[in-house]
Amino acid sequence: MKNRFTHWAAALLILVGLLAAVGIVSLCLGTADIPPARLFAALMHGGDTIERTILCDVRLPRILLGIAVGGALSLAGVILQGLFRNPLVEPYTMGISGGAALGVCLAILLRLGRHFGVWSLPVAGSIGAAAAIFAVYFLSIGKGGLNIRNLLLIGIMISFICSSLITLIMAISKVEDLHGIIFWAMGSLEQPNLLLVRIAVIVSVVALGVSYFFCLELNALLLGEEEAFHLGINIENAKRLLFILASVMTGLSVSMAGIIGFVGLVVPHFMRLFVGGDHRILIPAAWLCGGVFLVACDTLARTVISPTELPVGVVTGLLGGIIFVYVLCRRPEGKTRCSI
Amino acid sequence: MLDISNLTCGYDTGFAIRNINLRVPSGEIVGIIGPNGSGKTTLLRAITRSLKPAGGVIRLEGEDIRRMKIRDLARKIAVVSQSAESGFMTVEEFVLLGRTPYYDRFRFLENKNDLKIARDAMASTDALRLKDQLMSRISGGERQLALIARALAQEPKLLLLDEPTTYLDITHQMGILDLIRRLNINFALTVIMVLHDLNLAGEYCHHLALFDKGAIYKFGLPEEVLDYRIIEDVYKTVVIVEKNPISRKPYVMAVSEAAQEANRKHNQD
Repeated sequence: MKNRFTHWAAALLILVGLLAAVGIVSLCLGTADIPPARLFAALMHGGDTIERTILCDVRLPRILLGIAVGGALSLAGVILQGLFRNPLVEPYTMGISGGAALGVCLAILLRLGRHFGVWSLPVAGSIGAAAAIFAVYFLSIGKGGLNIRNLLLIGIMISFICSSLITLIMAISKVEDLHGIIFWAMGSLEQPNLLLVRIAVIVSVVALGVSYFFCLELNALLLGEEEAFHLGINIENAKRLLFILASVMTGLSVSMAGIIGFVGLVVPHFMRLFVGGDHRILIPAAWLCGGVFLVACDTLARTVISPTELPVGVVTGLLGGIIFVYVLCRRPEGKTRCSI
Repeated sequence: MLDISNLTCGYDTGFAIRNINLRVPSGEIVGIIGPNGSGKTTLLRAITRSLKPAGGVIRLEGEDIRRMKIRDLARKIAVVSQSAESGFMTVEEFVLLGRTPYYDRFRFLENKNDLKIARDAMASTDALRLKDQLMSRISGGERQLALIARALAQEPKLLLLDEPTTYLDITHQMGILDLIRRLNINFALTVIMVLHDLNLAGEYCHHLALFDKGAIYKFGLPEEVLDYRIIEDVYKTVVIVEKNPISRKPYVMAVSEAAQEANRKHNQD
């Protein structure tokens, strides 16, 4: 068993190393390439050089937001998949992001940006996410507590309703608004407001810490709810808190960075293949890997056809889907540990 | 050990067990028998607090189980049920989950002690040889061993088993029940198990509780409960009860309709 813990530590070290490497590469690449040799100098020796401004005000916040959002989405995926014991669940199948998207679209349509400035979209997104969460949550509370199967179905339905409403909004909105909605819906890590970036990072890290306290609950839930209860887990409490946690993380991610699909689905699966299904390692590993994945995708998105930027959601979808299918197919049958 | 008084407990559908009184002395094996849908599993679920009783009290070592913390209850009562999903984990990982009620809020990793207890549990159920195999790849009998090992890792005082021999062949049925009796003797473990097979129940249990329509029809020694009049009344089936020539325990044989007919004809001739 010592052996297993060494494996875990090694996996975490590798992921931290990867995160650092991807971060540095991402700092260097862009419309103005900064070679790694000059990176350190530009960061350390202050001054108001253009390079320093690019690094600290443009690229670094973007990378941090990428880590925060990628981590939060993957973690939400891990938690939801654990709760539902269903490998296909992710924040986007739960209606949470649908609600957030609807909120943002309404804000764009009503031109709330004119009255409330940069805060309007994130706040509208969070309100939308919260509304969807509460709708799903209260509609699926049955007599005997939270009914997981209902929750899932209602989540999917709310998702559909939201996307229909968004299409409706797009159909009646003006051309200039339409562009804003579409761009936002495709997802982007560009966030000029540094305070929002800071909030995202703090919330994401705190959520990681809090969810770690539920790793044993999630492990026991792998056996089913009644079995977990027999192991002394207060499942009603655990389900409630974990659900709220996943919702907050998704709401935050969607309202900050738009719709970035696939991270919450692909990363947890991918990590299960490599570190196994034990949540004590899966939670931190998925968070780190989510960060690595999203920062890497974002770097690709802004450099491939530079200076034009691709929507990062397109890159995560394409890249994640292809890598995932490839790994799954290469894996000899029976050794797959992806399904829970 | 376990003292159930006036327990009434049921589901939204209307089915309920009513006014159950049952005392399980420490160190005994008590078998719960009865037709399908007579309330056997409902009783187990009430003991584990999975179901809220509508009335009555269940006391474990004198303490009302509803006043105990769920975690403390899990340190005293372990359950082997057929519903456990085991996913893609090794047998050892699965057994180690039995240590869950012993982790503290700030301890996430198992220590040497947990590992030793899990290994001992596997050793005493003969599951140690399976420890690195995936739960999804072992046979039904081996899975049962792993389930019992996980329950033992909880270091319980009371072990509840819900039909532990279902789907097993006769070798594995006897193997599991012999194992349960060994655990009962070696660890002074009190056992309550739901069994379908009346003969196995008579062979292995100190006392039997026969359920019918949500109530205990008869509680007593196997030879008291497995009386042909009682069995025929509850199961609506013609049976003959003989004694097992070796163990001297009652042995129930069902008589088919055709055999009854043939017998009647034979007697008339």
